[in-house]
Parts: sequence; structure tokens; C-alpha cells
Amino acid sequence: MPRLLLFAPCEKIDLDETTGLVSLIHLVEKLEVTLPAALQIPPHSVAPMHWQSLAVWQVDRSEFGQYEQMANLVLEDGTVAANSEPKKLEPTLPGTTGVKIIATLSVVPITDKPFLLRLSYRKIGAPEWMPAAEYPVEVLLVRQ
Amino acid sequence: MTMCPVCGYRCLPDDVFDHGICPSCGTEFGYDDVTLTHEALRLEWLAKGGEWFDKSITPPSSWDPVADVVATFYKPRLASISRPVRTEFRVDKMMTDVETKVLPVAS
Repeated sequence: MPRLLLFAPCEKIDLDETTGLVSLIHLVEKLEVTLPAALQIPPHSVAPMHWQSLAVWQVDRSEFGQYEQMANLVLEDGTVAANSEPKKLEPTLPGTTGVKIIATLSVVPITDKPFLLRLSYRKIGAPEWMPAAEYPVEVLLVRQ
Repeated sequence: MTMCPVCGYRCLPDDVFDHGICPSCGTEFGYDDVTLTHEALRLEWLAKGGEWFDKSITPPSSWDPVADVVATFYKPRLASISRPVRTEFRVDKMMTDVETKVLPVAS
């Protein structure tokens, strides 16, 4: 089974293309939005914002390319607001067992409730996704 | 090109503020914004449904009045819920410090 070493959403992930080293900039913990009191926001609204998540996996050599991962942005009521496409867990450098997957999100939910970034994985072809990690993001929605 | 200060639509001609009309929110600059602030016009437009004004122009496929207004004028921002606590690993005394144990190279 693949072993998840790290799952973290960040404002930006800096990738050194030469070495493959990554740097996480501004770990996401909380989202703050200040809106006019008169502005009505329909349920399940999203606003454009660029942020990213990093998943670091360790995969046995015998299981290279047999599993895939997917990340979801999940609202408190269970609604999935955004999905990343499934990505195969296979090393990108020869002789290594590490897999790093950077998923880019282009929206944030406009809500007054916390939401989750959920990472799931499955054996390719299996019907069900298995949870690997859930990262909660707090929300402060101020009306003024 | 310039941005509408009422709805955030980004494809207005530069001379729109000389009595031009935003095709997105329908604000006529130099007229509607004489008596109301841009924010008041924005909230009024959204309260009425935030519809695309100029039916002779097709809105961009990505056009979303609420999302565009929130992203342009009330930007969500990231915040922290804690301050990191710092600690250090202590090296076990059974470990050998190579700095002090390596013999000097004979000259």
C-alpha cells in the first residue's frame, strides 16, 4: 500500500525543476473574507483564488503505477466544490520510491463554515476511493 | 482596457468613464455614479440579480457576477490559527561526533 508522508495545502508551492526540491509557502489554515452586510451570497458560491496542495507518498517498487490519488475540496454539508484529476502514484526520478504530487486549486468557497481538503487514493480500476488524509480549513466570514 | 469599479468587469474601453456604459452591470459613468458610490451601485446591481446588462454582447464564458465581485473587491485572504512552537532535536550522547573524532591528516 502507498504510504502518505505529507499532505498540506499552501498558498504557493515552489518547485526547483532542476533538483525536484519543493518549498511550501504559507501553509493554509484559515480563510478570512470581509463582505458588505447587504451582499447576498448564493449557497455554494466560489471565488477565484490560486492555491496548491502537496502530497508526498512513498510507494513500494512492486506497486509503482498501480495506485492513483485525487484531492477534493469538500464543504461542510458534504458538497464537493472542486476535484483534482486522478494522478498515478509513480516515481518521476529513476531509482527512487518517492512521489510528490502538486495539485493546483483555482477557487475558494465563499462560506461561513469550515471546509476540508480531502486526499483519497485507490488501486487503479477499483470502484471506491479510500481516504488518505483530511485537512480542515477554518473560515472567518465578517459582515460589515 | 480598464476595469469596472462597480462590478469588476475587466474589458472596458479606457474612455468608459466619460459617460460610457459597462456592458456587465449597466452603470453609466458620470451619471449613475454621481449620486451613488460604486459600492452602493454594486450591491444594488447584485441585489437585483446581477444580470448581464448589454444583451447585444455575449458575456465571457467565465463571467460570474458574485465570484468576480468577491474576488475583485473583497479578496479572501489566508490567515493563521496558531504560532509555531520551536524545538530542537538533542543528539543522543551515545552518538559519535565525527567533527571531533576524525584524526588530522598527516602532512
